[in-house]
Amino acid sequence: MRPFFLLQNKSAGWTRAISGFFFIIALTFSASSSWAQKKMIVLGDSLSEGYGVAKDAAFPAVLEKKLQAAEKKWTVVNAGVSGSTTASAVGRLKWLAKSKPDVILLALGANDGLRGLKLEDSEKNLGAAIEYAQKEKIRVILGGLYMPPNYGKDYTDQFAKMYQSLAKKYKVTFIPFILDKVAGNPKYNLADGIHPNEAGHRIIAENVFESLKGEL
Amino acid sequence: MLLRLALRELIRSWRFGLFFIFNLSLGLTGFVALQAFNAALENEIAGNAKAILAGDVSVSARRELTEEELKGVRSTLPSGSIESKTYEFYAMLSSDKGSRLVLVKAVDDNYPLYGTLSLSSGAEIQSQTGKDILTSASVWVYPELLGQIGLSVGDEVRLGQLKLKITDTIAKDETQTFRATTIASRIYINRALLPDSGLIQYGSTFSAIHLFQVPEETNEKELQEKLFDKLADPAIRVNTADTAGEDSGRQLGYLTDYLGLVAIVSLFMSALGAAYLYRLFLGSRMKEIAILRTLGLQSGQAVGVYILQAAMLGFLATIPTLGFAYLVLPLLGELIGSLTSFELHPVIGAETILICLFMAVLGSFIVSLPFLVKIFDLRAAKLFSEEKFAVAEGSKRYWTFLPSLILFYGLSVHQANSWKIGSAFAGAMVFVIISLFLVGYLAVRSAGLLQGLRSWFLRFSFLSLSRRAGASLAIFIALGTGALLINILPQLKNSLQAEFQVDSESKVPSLFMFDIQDEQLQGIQELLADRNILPLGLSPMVRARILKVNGEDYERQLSSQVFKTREEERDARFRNRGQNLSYRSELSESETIVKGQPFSGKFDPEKDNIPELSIEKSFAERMDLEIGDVMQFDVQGVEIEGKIINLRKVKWTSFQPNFFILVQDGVLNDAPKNFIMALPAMEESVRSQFQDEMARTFSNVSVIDVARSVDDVLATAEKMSWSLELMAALALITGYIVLFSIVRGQISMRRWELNMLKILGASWKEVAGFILVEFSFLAALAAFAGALLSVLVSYSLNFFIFESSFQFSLWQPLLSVLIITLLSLLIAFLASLDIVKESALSILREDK
Repeated sequence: MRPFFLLQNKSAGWTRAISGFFFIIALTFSASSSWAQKKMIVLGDSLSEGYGVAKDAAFPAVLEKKLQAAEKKWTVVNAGVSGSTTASAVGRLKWLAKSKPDVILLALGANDGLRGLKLEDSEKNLGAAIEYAQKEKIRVILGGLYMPPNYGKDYTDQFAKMYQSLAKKYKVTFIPFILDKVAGNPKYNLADGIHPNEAGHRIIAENVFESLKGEL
Repeated sequence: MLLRLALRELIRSWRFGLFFIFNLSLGLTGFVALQAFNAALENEIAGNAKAILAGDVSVSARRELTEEELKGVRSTLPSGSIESKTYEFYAMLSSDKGSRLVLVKAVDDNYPLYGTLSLSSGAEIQSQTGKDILTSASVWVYPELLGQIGLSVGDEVRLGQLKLKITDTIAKDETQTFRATTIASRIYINRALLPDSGLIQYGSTFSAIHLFQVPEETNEKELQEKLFDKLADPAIRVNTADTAGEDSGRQLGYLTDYLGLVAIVSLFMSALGAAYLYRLFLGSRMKEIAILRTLGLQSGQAVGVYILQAAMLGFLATIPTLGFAYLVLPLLGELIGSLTSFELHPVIGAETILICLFMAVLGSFIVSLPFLVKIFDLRAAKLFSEEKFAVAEGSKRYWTFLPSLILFYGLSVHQANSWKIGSAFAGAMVFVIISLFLVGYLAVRSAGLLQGLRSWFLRFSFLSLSRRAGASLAIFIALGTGALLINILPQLKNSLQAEFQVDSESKVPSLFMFDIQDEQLQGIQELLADRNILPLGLSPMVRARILKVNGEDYERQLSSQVFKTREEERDARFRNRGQNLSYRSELSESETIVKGQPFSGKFDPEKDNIPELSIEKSFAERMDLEIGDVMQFDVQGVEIEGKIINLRKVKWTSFQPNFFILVQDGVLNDAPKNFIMALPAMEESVRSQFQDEMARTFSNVSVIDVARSVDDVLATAEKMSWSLELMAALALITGYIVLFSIVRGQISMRRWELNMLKILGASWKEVAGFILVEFSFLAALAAFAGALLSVLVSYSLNFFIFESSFQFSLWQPLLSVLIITLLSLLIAFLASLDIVKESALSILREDK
């Protein structure tokens, strides 16, 4: 994936400006300079970050290649942060919105579920993030997730419903289960049984691509 | 005939025999005592590791093992192995009062194969002890869970489809370590109930763990390798107690290495004593050998008689040693147990007894070889001269030292269980002995130049030292080596103890909070201020990927669909995992820069070229990073570069959030981040109230209660520190005993000469003065040289093996110089009194 902003350029010998001020200017500049391209930011957790696989093998990078192969001029930025919960959604979105993305793929919530957090709070956090994005005129795609059965039927049902009700309430494009065909299958996961391996990421990219190709 | 001759000789000179046995057994007893405590400590460490794993070997995966895989595992295990299968997974536990995430441990009757689970009711749960969770639909929970949901023992809870009654709480769980502390409390249930729970099915995330207890003689490392070979899927983990991973793994490694050193030091100490005594013994018997040769005995036969005699004496010396070991050591263990909170059972292994016997019986031949070959230079004619019989100088045969060198090198490696430590130590000893030889040679030679002294016995003493250069040099090297061995362990102990000690109890955390968002920070700080809780530390955490190091790709791509080896995959997954970066204006107290410079201050993009990075030392070693390397990161879509300016070491007992990579302050401050906070120890009720308040107000922030596991870690640290103290003290005592026997041996050799002085009219004061001057000069100089060299050797061993910062203590080596000198003088003085009391004629008859 091509970085949307390169702070360092040794050959040019530019001043290495990395302060917040320069950073923001640069983000804005980066956004305006790439006007021909549209930009999707994947705001997610370790599943998006590609925990354990190389950056180029994580599904946002694979999705970008797929979109470009389909002659769609999209850049996909991986803003996945391992371990992050929905509580971080608005704060990160405010930061990422500075680069003027066209679409946000909101794929958070897995850690809330795995840590047994109150789902009312998770729903509230995701709702706030969608509202913020819509206010900023950024289109939202909501990536849904399921909890593993060992969390009990009550909790897993409640968790799945959370995404459905959010999608309905905010009328956003909804992918019911981005880990479809991947979760639970040792063939597509790392040894920890939770994080997708390279093959798993390819399937996730395919899942997202299939859901979005008509939309983008 | 040889045996008869040897026995007759032995009975004739029974006084010397007793003296020899007493002194040799002193040295051997020291060796056995050190070995026994060493073994006790090693057993304790191994026992703890097995209790943490709850077995000798575990085979686990985040899925069920197939029948085929299990068959492969069981066919690889030695017969007589016992198995226990457990499951571990997260689940929601609910009751009418609320629900909570828990970590479920589903066990069977064989669990735990090692260690104990103590219940609050007083029950001690071990393998095959009655477990009520196996006979009724019940559950044991960690006590904090009761407070979190408002439950009591006897209440009913739901876990999936199961309804379980809480019958007890866990008071102490030996399998719980600081590192294994999770966001959820543990509960224990019956594994047989899982199918009814509905929790384990396709898509569930769980660990299926097969634990095995293998027969004692099994080599677990080899077994692990064989199991790895059998199990093709790298997702299956095979752990032994050693590799299960612990909070104190590195420190335990250091302790084991230290104990390895203790074993070598004790070996060298006893060898030093034995070698010296054998040398004296053979020296005293050279005249007899010459006589036997003149009577027609072959050189080889003559030597055989005395080798046989020395071997018999050596064997006899092991009897009081082993008697002491079996009678006194258990009492010593109990005494130590009554003085401290640790139970230690000194164990005398068959190996210790064998080495002890080997050193006593065969050691005489090997260590005395350089001296034995002098028999070929014996001049029988000397027997008829009027002077005291002495062995001729003869030709130098340096090869005769080779067997001793090879033997001690082999034993060093064997004792330390490590090529690295054994070689480092053996190398250091060769260096030390050569250094002591040079210093001793100069000292003895210069003693001969001190001729302008007023007192005759001063002049006589120094001249005598230089005249008998060989004997003086031998005692110099023996005393110097003793001083060195005595000092090494206490000095290394100081450095290692600093690793284990907690800076201050007030800095020990009881709660960790993570996932604190930027916008939540102020609210949490206000909540803490309201309750007068002062955080121990606050660390920002910024997620990033390392893209390149010095322009080379850092991450590993999957090529041709599979990784070739387990190691290759492990390395790739580790590299591709992403990193949590942090920043702080200065390093915390628990961090020490081991190489490079500290941060230059806040990053200023106007003036500074490239941000500075600080890397944790073990991470740098694992990833092959060096000072000056330029690393490129992807910080959530933004690429930044940094240059490594220092490597830092993090103290294990700090309990503070620490990071592999720290970035200069001012670089990442605006990047998306969250915070980790550590809170100090507080009353249980305050802690519980605060956790409730946090759960209500900041529900996403996970609060982990580490009070219990921190206490366990502190207890382990204290135990390690105490173990070091004990072994250093034992080594000191052993060392002084060995030196005592060496000095006594040396003085007994001088009886004839001192007696001559008495006959010539010297007063007892002059005789005593003469010997005291000689010994004060030799002992003080040798002890000083040995102590000085011990600082060098300790520093080097600390640098190469323990990699900790060297804690130099001046008083310790100086005190040892004083003690060795005074001890030598005291023994010399007492011996000179004995000689004055003895009849001059009897000594002449005995020793001529």
